[in-house]
Amino acid sequence: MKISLLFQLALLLILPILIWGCNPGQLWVQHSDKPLREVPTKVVSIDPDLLWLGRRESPEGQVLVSETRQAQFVERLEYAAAKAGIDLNVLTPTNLQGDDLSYFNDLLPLRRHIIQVNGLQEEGRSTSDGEVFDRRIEEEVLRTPMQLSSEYAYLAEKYDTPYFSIQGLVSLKTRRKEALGFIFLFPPLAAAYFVPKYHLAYYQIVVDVVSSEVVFRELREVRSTPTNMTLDVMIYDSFSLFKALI
Amino acid sequence: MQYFYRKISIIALTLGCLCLFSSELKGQNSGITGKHVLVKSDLFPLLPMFGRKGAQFEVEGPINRRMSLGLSYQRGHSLAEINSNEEKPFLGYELRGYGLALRTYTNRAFPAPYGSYVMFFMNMGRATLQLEDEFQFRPSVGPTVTASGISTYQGRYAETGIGIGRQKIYFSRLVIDVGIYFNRISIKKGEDSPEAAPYPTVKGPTLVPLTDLLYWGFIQEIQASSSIPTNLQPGYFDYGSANLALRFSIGILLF
Repeated sequence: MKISLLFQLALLLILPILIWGCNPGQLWVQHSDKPLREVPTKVVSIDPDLLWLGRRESPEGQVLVSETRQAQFVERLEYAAAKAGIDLNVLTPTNLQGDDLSYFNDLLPLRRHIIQVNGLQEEGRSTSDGEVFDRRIEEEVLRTPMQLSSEYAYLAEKYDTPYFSIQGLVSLKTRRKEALGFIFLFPPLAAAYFVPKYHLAYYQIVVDVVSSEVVFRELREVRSTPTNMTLDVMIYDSFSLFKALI
Repeated sequence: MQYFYRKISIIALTLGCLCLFSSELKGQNSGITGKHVLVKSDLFPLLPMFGRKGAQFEVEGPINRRMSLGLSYQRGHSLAEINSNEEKPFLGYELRGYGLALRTYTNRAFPAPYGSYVMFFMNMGRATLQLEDEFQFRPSVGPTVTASGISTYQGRYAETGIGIGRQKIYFSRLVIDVGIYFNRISIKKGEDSPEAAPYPTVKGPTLVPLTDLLYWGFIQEIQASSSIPTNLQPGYFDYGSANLALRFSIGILLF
């Protein structure tokens, strides 16, 4: 058999293996199919979540690290959203001005309500049964979007936009315990135990308080270090999808 | 021409397969925070210690969410003297050509061109092959004399290959692309070439010692002696090699 034929056979056999083996990541997107009343140019972000789980820190230390890194996360959110053409107004308890209590009176109840709605009005789909993570990319149109209470519609006029959102980032650093299995098979490979393994998950939920429904939500997970560039790429893509899909 | 039609059909088949993998979202966003085009150069051909000396430049841009297309120019030669006891040992080649590289980025959470990828590439262009030949001439007085010398053959080459790699961006501009690929280079003499080789068959070296090829590949020059048809006409040659090589590219994210 000619080597050129062998080469072509190897190409066909190796290619799918390579495609599935190279850090595939996951992306799950749900969006409304109703046309928006206005083009999303401004979005209010209510207190983005950040959970920074290191390998060495104690639980208390992880909370402290998360607090200190949140400013960095907010900075990347504002930068990448601006690149995607969205004016993101991030409101957190730490950047309130003067005696502005609107965060506690208006936004905090809305934030709690959004999380509650997302948990309770799940359309027969949850992450516990593994269905979401079986497919590595999934786009789903929300025929019957999750409904919010209409009592928050007044916020659209107050903040000059009907779109309110919650973003979150979870960074996890672990050891490769599975590498210890190579001690008996091929000891050099066991050295991978000392190379940390990273998991990064980012999510975003966007609601329209005037139509009182969830218009966009996504979850993405990668095996990557949480560098500024990685965060920029994910956040930019998230807002770009938000503009493109709805 | 059949040779190139076959290569093009392989590319079309592979491109079709890759498109099936990459069309997954209606919102086909791509690019890195709004920037799409990057220019990079493979450092290995630039360094003399890696055997194949020359230069390779590539302009890459995404064509949809998970695929990118790269256009490259390469120029290099592998003229290191390889001693061989074969009848007509191979001395080296020089390549100048253009290429096309298709990358499918495997990470669903990142848009192209960022993250891990699988690459398929093809380069074509002009090739110069140096071979040691035997010449026979008859002097005015005395018997026929056989001498050996170096002949230079002009031809065309085609290089195809697959590889994997990982591309990352640092400081919003600096592109680092690290990978490994498996390629096959085939050099043929053009049918309309005015030159005629004094001897029709060309035997390249078989396996080169591993220690000599750590820089470039360890499966080099497998095909040279195994795939040559026995009915080659004078003036034709067919040289092939398969390589496993590393790639380390540095570039700039332009716009």
